[in-house]
Parts: sequence; structure tokens; C-alpha cells
Amino acid sequence: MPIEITLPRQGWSMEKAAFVEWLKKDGETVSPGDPLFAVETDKAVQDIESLDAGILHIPPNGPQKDDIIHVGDVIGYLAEAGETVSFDKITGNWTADADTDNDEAQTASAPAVPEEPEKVSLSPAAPVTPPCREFPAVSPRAAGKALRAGIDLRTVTGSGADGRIREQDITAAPRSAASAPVTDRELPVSGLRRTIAERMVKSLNATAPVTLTATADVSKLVSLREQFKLSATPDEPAPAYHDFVIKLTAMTLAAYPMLNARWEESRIVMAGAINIGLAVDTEDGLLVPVVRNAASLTLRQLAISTRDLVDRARRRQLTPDELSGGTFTVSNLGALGIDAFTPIINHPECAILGLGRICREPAVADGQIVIRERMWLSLTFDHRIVDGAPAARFFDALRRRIENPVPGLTGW
Amino acid sequence: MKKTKNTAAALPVNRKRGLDLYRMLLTIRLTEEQLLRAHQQGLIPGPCHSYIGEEAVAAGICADLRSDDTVFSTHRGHGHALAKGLEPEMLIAELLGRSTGCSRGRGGSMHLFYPEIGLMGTSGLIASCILQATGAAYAAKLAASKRVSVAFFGDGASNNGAFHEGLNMAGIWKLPVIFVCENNQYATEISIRYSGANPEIAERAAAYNIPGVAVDGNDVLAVYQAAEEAVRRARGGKGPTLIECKTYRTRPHGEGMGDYTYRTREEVADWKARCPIQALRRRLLESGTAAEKELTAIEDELQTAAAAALEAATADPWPEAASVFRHVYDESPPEPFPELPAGSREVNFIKATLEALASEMERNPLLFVLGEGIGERGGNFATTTGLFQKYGPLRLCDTPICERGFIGLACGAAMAGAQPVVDFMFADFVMDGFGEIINQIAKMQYMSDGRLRMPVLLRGCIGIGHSAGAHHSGFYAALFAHFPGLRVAVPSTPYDAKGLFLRALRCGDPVLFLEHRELISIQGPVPEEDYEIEFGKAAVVRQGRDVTVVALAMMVHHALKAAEVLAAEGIEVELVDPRTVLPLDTATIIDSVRKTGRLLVVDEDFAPCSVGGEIAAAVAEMGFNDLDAPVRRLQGEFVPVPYSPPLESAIVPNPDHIVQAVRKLMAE
Repeated sequence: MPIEITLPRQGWSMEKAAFVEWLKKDGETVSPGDPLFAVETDKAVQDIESLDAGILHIPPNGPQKDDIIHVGDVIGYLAEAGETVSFDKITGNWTADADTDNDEAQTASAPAVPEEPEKVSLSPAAPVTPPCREFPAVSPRAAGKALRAGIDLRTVTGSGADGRIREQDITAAPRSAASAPVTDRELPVSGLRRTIAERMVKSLNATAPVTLTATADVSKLVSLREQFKLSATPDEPAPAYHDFVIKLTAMTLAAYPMLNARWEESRIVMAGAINIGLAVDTEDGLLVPVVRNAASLTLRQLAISTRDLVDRARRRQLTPDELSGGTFTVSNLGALGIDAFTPIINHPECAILGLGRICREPAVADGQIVIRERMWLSLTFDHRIVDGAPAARFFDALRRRIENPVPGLTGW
Repeated sequence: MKKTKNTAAALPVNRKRGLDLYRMLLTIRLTEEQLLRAHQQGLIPGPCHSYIGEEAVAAGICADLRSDDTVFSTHRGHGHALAKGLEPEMLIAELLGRSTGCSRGRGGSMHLFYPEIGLMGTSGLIASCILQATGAAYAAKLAASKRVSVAFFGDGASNNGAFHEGLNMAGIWKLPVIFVCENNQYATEISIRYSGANPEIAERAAAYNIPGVAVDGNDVLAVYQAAEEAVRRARGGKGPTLIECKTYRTRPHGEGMGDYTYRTREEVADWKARCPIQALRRRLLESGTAAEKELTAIEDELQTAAAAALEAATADPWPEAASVFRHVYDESPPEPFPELPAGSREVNFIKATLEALASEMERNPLLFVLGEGIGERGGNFATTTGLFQKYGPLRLCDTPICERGFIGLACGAAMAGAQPVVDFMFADFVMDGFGEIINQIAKMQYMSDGRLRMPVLLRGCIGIGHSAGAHHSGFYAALFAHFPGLRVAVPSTPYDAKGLFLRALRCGDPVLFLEHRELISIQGPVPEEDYEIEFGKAAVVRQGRDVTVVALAMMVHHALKAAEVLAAEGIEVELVDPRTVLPLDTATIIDSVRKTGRLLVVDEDFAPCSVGGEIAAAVAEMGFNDLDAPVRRLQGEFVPVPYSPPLESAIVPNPDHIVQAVRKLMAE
């Protein structure tokens, strides 16, 4: 096999050189160590010595003086006597100074060099802190402390050099959560929210609301519900307090129809049916499904109906029908620890009853202090439709029914 | 009875030796030729310094060496490595940067390590090998072993100060070392005829009262005979020999470098004709030692082996990048003696270090002390009082005033298994040997991939005081703390001095132990028993809530005084003494700043690139959110140390300065 004569890499960064001349003649015998050809690199003209022995074959289309040759380019051959030499690999395209380095030989059997050594540990880079001119100078320690304490740095006077706020200035500043710089956040208004807002404002603008409050001794009601709970099953839980109250309210309204009326333009309309709305808190907002003809339902029917309505309200599965046609509303915030409140009338109804929490309180009975279960009731009514005294009479009648629930519930 | 061969060309060695030498010459040449190929193909990522033309020197010198004899070499060391027994594939793989290389890819052409066969390292720096071989010979003598060591170096190194210092020390102590000067006529491109006032290098041996022999370095038999005699002398306790081998490299200084700007084609051709391999071949044939056919068979066999070595090395794996962090420091130092409470016995600072030194000398018979006046005199600062009387001159070695020389000797001794303690008196003097510390001692564990341990303790006084002037007052801690491989201890109390000194002796790494000269007489409580203080563990000298002060050495004492003054004003200083600056315990400093929110660094040293600057940077990076004021530094003035007391005291922080600096910081 003829031995290829290539341009060797001479310097660490050498990629190419200008051919100068052959130092041996075509057909001459070459021994290892003999100067074979000369090239000019960016350093100097250099003789390239042969590492091998053989008879030199200079190709007719080989490089001429000043032709650019690249490291690894084959420019001739050394062959044994009588050996035939093919110049097929020699392109003759020497002057082209393109990046066509034949570097296959360099990497033929070498494992690939990793592109970049794995970055294992570097010193942490110092964070760049741009100067902040809108605010007073503050030490990082003081800034952290102010943030944790909810203190607005703009309210603090710095005592450090150049007025810098220091830790001690934060320690001395009054704490005020209200003055803490709180960022506002905007939320889009949902359709339900908008409806609630419009109805509430309309109610307040259109009605003359008055709120009465009273407490009821609900010890008997609690005791009664305990009995239901004892016989309850997972499929049929005990009725909720609002079920008792809705039933009793509906019955009371039958005797006080003005509280079941509505104001329409310039007239008062007495509603034919007693349909009680129940305010339900859902993730999206307040919904008020309606229990129709509540007075005529048995407690069991009523409980099943409200459970279904509340459940579907929370899943937003109520039909428009089920959300309209109410004549009176009950709103229960007792479970949330509220005593009394001022419910807003569900326009155009006449009144709304708010239920507060039930708690055990000392009471005087027969000259003795005893423990009783007590619940706050709040009634808001539209003074346009009904005056305070009739409303109070209705309220008192209702309270009495709630305090002694059994006759009403049993239809006595 | 005497068998005489009827030929004038009779070999001076037996047939086996003759053929072994021939094989070695060929192995070197053929391996080098493979490396040339690899270089020209771009397979060698770095430099390649060919040994072609000089093979007879390595082959002749190493022929009679044992595997535990040590060789220290130069930047043209391929031949020395192969002659000492390195497999060609390991050499080639090293130049190719592979994990199978003798230095596991950490060295390349100029940094070949294989201590397992006594190849203690080739070096890219001129003449260090002379000192290291001297040191290895010192270690051999200390261990009462028959090992000899060899330094190969060039004509260029013979004009370097290390040549003088090394040969002088070897001459004084009659060390078992052979200095082999390969005079290839050119120090890179500078001719010895120009650079040597007396170019006959062998003649210089007379200055050191040792034999100097000049031989034809291309005649392997002549080299061998000279080496045989030198090795015999060395093993017999008769001391060192300088052998000058006149030879020539027929390749450029480094592959790819131009060659005919400083020498002629005719000169190169002339030396090529004096090929050492062809010369021995002729002798083997003419003497009837071997037949043509036999030699051709050897040549074919070795040619095939060399080609196979390149092919095999080319397929070898690269080192794992993650391994780059291994062996900067000793990875298995002995368990430290636990720290002890200070107790009530008081000794001074130097006595505390002397106790540690005496204790470790008792445990380790290869521990020895080098320095000026540390022998019978017991040290300028009483650092070795009483030890000479107990251990004698070999282990308490008074040196000539040649800091580079004995630091280099310490390096070589450590490489060969001994444990040197170098006592500089003043750390300023270390500067003469800076290169040996930074380029050799600090890097040796790493370059050898952890196969050479470097337990070298370098101690000296630092610091300003008592009008010692510009050459006896430097601080230097930061200077050395810049370099991986070193450790730097700067104790401030007798207690810390003993604990850190013992740790320094037992940590397996080179340690700069810097003793402030104004502190060496201070008294303090020190346990009699051995205990160690870990490096990189700061001491909280005083607790306080308002401001952290970090100080070293003398400044710790000044800061304590300042803290008392400030306490009277209601400012409570927390004082942290890092005790070592490499490693530096930034965690303790940052913990303290987390508490106080303020940091003042008090540093006797100049501000630029100082320990104070390093601490400030660390706190800025890792403690930024805890800062209630900018980090402030109180540093020595950036001037050389003057003599006159008012000048001297104007450049170094004192307690008043510290009080003022803290007050100012509290108002920031």
C-alpha cells in the first residue's frame, strides 16, 4: 500500500499552510528523517521531514508554490519499488481557501471529546442590585424586617448615614397592617356576581328596610331535632334547622299575609301561594332556590326538597323556575357563628328572616338560673308594605311557634 | 582462564545488557515516532516535546536503577519515563489526555507521574527536579535506605540557581543523588556556547566538591558506564555525581515549532548521522554480540508493539469531568486528636508549637526540620530548642541560606515519603522559593492524581512591629490563600498555635504556618496533651450583639482591647478569629453577621486582593440580606513596611483605629 503524504499539524492552532516546494524529486528514494517538502505557516517556512520510507510519487495535479493546503490533505505518496500509485484522492483544487479540512483521521477511532466539561461547582455569582432612586436608601436587613412587619418604608425616617433606613428604624416604627403596602388585584365579575349585585342594590334602592331582632329559646327545637337525629340514616338524615323554620314560617305567614305580599308599581299584591326561598351559599355566590307551598308540605317532604335544592344549587343545576316565584326568604348564617344580622330583602318580596347561631346560655326560669339553648332571629321587612307593629306581631308569633314547634309541625 | 575475545570492538557489557540497552533505545525512538504521528494527526491536544536523538542518556542512566530508586525529570521526559519502566501505551495515552495515561490525563507531555515505579514526575519548569532529587536523596538517607535518586535536566537548567543550590546541598550532606545534565546544546533556542560562561558543565562539579564526568551522550555504553559508577558511589554513601551527557535533539524544541532560526540544517544532519541507536547496532554487530537477523527481529517486534500502543491508547477513555476536583488535598488524613479545654497551665506561643513539633517528631521518624540555625542553636525564635540534642543533625538540618534550594529539597523529600518542616525564620524569606511552593509543592498531590502525599509544613514569622523593616515584616497570608493545594494557618493564641500546628503536621497537606512575630512571646493556657484544631473552624473570641469584627493574629488582640472600650459606650462587639484563611470559615462569619447586621474586617495586610476583601465578598454574596450597613474594612496601608517607629505605626491598624471604625460603622 502506498503511504499517503499529508500536511502534518505543526502548531497548536495550525489548520493550513502555503506549499513552498518539494525537497525531493519525483521518483527519488526517501528515508525516514529526510526533509520531504517545505511549507510556509504563519510562523515561518518549515521543512517537513518524512516519518516513512519509500519512492516519492508527486502527482501532476499536486500543490504548486503558494497553493493553500490544509492539515491532513494528501499531497503525494511514498511507494515501494514497482508499486502502482493512484492519485484519485488528490483533487487538485488547492487554491480554494475553504474550510474543507480532512479531519476524519483525527477522530477516526478516538472517543468523542465531550463538548463541554460538566459544570460541577462554580462560585455563586453575586446578584446585581440596581439602584432604586424612588425609595429611600434602606439596608437589606431593614428592608426584610419591614416586609415581615408590614411596615411601609415610605413612612419610616432613616437614621443612618445619608438617611439610610436601618434595622433600628424599623424596630421603632409603629406597626400598622392598614398602612402596609398591599398590592391590589383585579378579578373579573361573574354573571352571577353581577346579578347578585344588581338585585341587592335594587332592593336597597327600592325598599324601606327595617330589621327587627329577637331571641328565641329553642331548647325544645334542639331536643326535637335530637330525636330526629337518633332515627336518622345515611340515606335519610335528620331535617336541618332551616327545614323546621321554613315549615313554621310558612304556617305563620298564612296568618299574616301582609308579610307575604309584594309591592308592584303603585299597588300591593297579596301572594296567593306561600313559597319560601332559602338562601344558599355556593362557590360562585348566593343562590335562592324556592320551596313551593311550604305550608302544605310535611316536614319530611320539605326536608327532602330543600336537601335536593341545596345540593343542586351548589352544583349550579337549578332551573330558572326553581329560582323564582318566592314570596318570603329564609337566610341561615347560624352555622357560621353569626348571632344577628340585617338581611337584605329579596326584592320584590316583603320580608326576609335571618337565622343566627344556637348557643347555650344561662337563663332565669322559676327563680333559678338554668341553661337554655338560644337562637337569634333577624327579620327585615319593607316598611312600605307593612308597619313595624304588624311586622313585630308576625315576628313574635313566629318566635313562639319556633319555641314550641310540635303543634305547628304536627298540623295541630 | 580468562576468556578474551579476539576483537577490538568488544562490548564493555554482557550480551544481555547490550541487547536490553538496544531494546530500550528502540522502544524510546519508536514510541516517540508514534507520538509524532499522533501529534501530526491532531490527536495530542497539547504540546509534545520529543526525546528523539537523546535516547542513549535515559537508557544508559536508568539501566541499573531499581524500581524504588527515584527519577525526577524535565519537560523532555518521555525517554526517562520509558527507561524507568513506563509502558509505551501509558505514555501515549497520557499525551492523548486519556484516563489510562500515567498521570490519568492530568499532565500530558511535560507532567508525567508514575511513582509506583519511581517516576516521581517530569516538570514543565526548569531545574526544580534538581532540588527534588536532592530531597528524595535526603529522604533515602533519613530512612537509612539504599535508594538513589536521579535528576535529569538540560544544559539550560545548569545556568539556573537551583543547580547551584541543589548540587551544593547534595555535596555538603553527601546525598545519594545523580545529577544528569543532558547537554543537548540548546536551552529551547539559546545555545550553551552563548549562555554558559563556562560551557563545560561537568567542570562545575568542582565548585561543590563532587565528581563531574562528561560523556558522549549518544554512546549508550559510555553513559551506562558512567551511571554504573555514579550509582555505586551513591549507594555506597559516597555522595552525588554530576554526569554531563553531550547529546542533541534532532527534532524541534516542541513539535510544530520552527527549527532553523537558531541552528543549521547541516548541524542537525550531522547529529542525525550520530544516531545512538545505529551506533549501538554497529557495536553489537561488530563485537559479534548479535547477528543482523536477531536485531532485525527485535526491531520488527518493537515496531509492531509501538504501533499497537498508539492504536490501543487512541481507543482509551477520556477522564470523567467530575474527577477534576479530586486530590487537591489529601483525602484520607488521620483522625485528629480531639480538641481539649485550655486548662490553667500557661506557656508561650512558640513553646506551644515546640510541644506539638516534639510530639510529632517522636511519633514519625521521617519527620525532619530544615532551616537556618534550627540545629544546635535551637532556632532564631527558639522554635526547635532541645530537639537537636535529642534527634541529631539529620533530623534537625541546618541549611545554607538558599530558600529556594531547601524548599525544593523539602518538596522532593515529601514526594519520597519523608515529612519536612521548613523553618524560614521570617516568612519574607519564603519569597525566594515561591515558585517551588506554588508550582511544585501545592500542585503535586493533584498532578499525581493523589498518588504523592505532600505533608510539608512551611513556617515563618509575619507581621509588623519593632522596626523590623521592609524585609522582615510582611504578612503574606492572602498571597498563599490564593492557591489550591495549600492550607494557611494564622494563629493568634498559644492554644490555637499548638492545636493548629499539630493539625498542620498531621493533615497530609502542605501548610503555611504563619506566626505573628509580636505574638510569639505571649503567654496563654495550653494543655500539655496533644490536641488538634481543625482547619476552617473559626473561633468566636467574644460574643456581642451589635457588630461583628473579624480579625487575624495581632489584630485579634487589638480588636479585643477595642471591644472593651466600645462596651463602655454600650456597643457590644462580636469578635471572630478565622484562625485559618485557607480554608476560610465563612459560615461562622455569616452566622455572626446574621445576628449583628454589621461587619468590620480588621486586616493588617494590604487591602487589594486581601483576606479582608475575600471576607467582604463572601458576606456580600451570602449574607447580603442580613446587612444593616455596608461591610467595612480596616486594613494596613498599601506601602512597603518602613523602619522608623512613627512611620511604622502609621501604616498598621491599632486599637484606637478599630474603636473609631466601629463607631463609624454603628452610625452608618
